[in-house]
Amino acid sequence: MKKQRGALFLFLTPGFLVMFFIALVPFAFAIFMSLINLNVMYSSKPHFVGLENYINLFTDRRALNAFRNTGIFVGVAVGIEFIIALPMSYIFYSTFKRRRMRNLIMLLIAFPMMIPKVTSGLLWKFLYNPLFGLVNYFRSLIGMQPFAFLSNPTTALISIVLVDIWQWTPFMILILLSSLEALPEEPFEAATIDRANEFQKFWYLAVPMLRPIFFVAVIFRVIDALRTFDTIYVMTSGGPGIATETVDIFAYLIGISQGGRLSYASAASIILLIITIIISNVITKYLYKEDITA
Amino acid sequence: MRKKKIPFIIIIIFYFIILYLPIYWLFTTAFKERIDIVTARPKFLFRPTLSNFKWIFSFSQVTDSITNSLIVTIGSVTLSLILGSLAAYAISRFRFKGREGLRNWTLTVRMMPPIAVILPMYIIWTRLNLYDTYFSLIVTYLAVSLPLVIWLMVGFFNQIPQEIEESARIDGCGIYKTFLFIALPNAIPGIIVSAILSFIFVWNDMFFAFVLSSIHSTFPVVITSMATTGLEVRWGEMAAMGVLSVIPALVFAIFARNLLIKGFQGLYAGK
Repeated sequence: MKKQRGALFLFLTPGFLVMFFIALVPFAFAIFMSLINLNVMYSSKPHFVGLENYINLFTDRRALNAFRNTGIFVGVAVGIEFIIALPMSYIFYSTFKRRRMRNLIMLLIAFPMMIPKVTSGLLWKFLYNPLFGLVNYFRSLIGMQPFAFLSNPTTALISIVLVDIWQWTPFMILILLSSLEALPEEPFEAATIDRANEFQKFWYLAVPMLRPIFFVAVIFRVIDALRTFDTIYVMTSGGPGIATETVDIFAYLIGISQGGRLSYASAASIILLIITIIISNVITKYLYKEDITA
Repeated sequence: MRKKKIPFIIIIIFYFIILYLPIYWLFTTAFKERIDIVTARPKFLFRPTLSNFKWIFSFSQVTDSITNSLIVTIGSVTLSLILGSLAAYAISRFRFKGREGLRNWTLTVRMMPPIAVILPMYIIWTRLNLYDTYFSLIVTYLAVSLPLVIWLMVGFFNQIPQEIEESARIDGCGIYKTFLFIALPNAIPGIIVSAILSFIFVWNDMFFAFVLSSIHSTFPVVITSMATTGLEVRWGEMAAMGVLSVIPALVFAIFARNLLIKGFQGLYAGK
């Protein structure tokens, strides 16, 4: 028993010491920073200001805009991804029955997710180009005028949302398709014998059986969308003006690249982190309780 | 029976066109002359050229950043495989207080928004005089790869039947020997899956290196800085960089496709 403890310690410590140093220490430090007034521009010594940075966030129109944009980005992207992925996963499930074929299809679905977000942002910036982008070419085919999607404040954010939808709907399809595969096939076969059509099988069998996994698919995606930085930064860097500034971009810009208001930026990112922690706790509580005793 | 599938097949083809037309466009643009790119009517037929790649490789900034990316990625992945499989084995095999909490915490770390820790990291690395070094980048990227490896490896160790290890223990194998000679060899597919996925995640990330490096910038950082400072008008050259950035994913997709699918499933199903 003594020996067990020693071994446990040796196995666990190196890894979790590193995790402690790269996750917990900066996190604690960030909270501390958000409670003082550290600013690269000030020469005076920073002092404790309590919750002032947080209170200021709620009266700062630029900050509120960033939270609003993050909300729109996450809500619209994840919502549409789910609406597309749910029927698509069933369509893939019902069309491809052979295992080899399914693996190949899954790979084809998964591949766009493996493209660096920087590259997909760059690629879509080109596709959206008003002069020689493919998007405007297709618009011209139906007689529409070229349009600069990314330089117009009303369309810029939603254009980036579309990129997220393009790249990450596969993620939801993959989760839903994997869960469909794990379901027993008998109900579907019985329904086929009873002459149920595909829609009925989808709506009355697949959807109810998949329901427990909806939550997982959506939450994973929400958390990932909450921290989208690369795509937005490459495509618009938050512009035009502040039209595509999400919390991540906002905190980066005011904290690092334009002005060095480190404490203020920390406060904004801590709020984002707290939202993430709450969501991820919900998911771990909900999902992985029983499986750990395997 | 067959006929019923036709609407589905049409939808699937349509979906794959949407999914792959942009990727096709990235790859073809990289091999196009400028004159074939800057045109209102897109050219689907063209004479391929390597000039974009030649231009890219003439920049030491680009070639250096690819080297940097490889060093940082391989360093970080290797370290996280060692540290991660040790920690995962402990979580999977030992019974101790807070075990479940630790595993869930790795998930939380994996999900944390990088912006929340990047400012302190910047200050910490600068204070330690380690800002913009391979060491700091490799360690920082453990924040991406280590939780991923621990998470996946716990799942893989859980799948290995404990009886083999127990019989080894009865035959007099110590804990360390059992781990090294029994558990680890059995977990090799899991280790490969973890290596591939964490490689992709670290290689693809731009943000940490974006803030924490200048001379040792990684490849995505250089792509970003070129794409946001006017060079994006050189579409062919930028597309060539995009193609290079996708190569690891492409290689894994071709040579390790079953492992990749397994990995993605393990990543989000927790099995």
